[in-house]
Amino acid sequence: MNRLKLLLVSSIVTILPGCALWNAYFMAGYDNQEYALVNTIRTNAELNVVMCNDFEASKRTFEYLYSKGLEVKNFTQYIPDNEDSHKLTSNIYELIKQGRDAYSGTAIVSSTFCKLKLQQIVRVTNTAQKVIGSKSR
Amino acid sequence: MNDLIKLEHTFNEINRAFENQEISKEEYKNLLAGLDVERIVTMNAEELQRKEELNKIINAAINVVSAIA
Repeated sequence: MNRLKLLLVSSIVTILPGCALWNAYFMAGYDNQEYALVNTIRTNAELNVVMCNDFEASKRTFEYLYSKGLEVKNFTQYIPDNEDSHKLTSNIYELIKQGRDAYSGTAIVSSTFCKLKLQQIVRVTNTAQKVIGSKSR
Repeated sequence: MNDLIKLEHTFNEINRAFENQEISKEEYKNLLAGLDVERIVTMNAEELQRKEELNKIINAAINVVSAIA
């Protein structure tokens, strides 16, 4: 039985390339703060889709999401072995910034744009939550 | 595959909104740029989940070795 276990372990170690092993083993674990910040962005985006007919309210929503997006991007930046999460949160930030830029450049933004952009943010944060939430505790 | 279908669905939705003149040309470009971000996130997420699975395998292997020793 022990020989079988050793065979199993050695098989895993020899089959996988060194870098993949190294990267996977030294991954940052689950971080509740990281997860909570992404959840805040997703929930706010979901709640404010119905406000898209109101330009000022939508502009405030994108400003708020922008500050949260920047916060989570900065939060993940210098945590050791957390490059993957930082890449993910940088993408969330980029997506929110696109929406915020649309509101800062003009006084006219269509409600359809607002809805579609918020839905994009919801989908991306949903994906990010699945990944961050599945990290080992 | 499922994620690709979702992205395609989103692309069609954006196109339809533009064709129906519900969004401007600038908004259309902005949403397509967002779709590209979605594509990147989907790819990164898949990679990250594979790494996490690998992490679990390695830890399980370490536990097996510890139990043997």
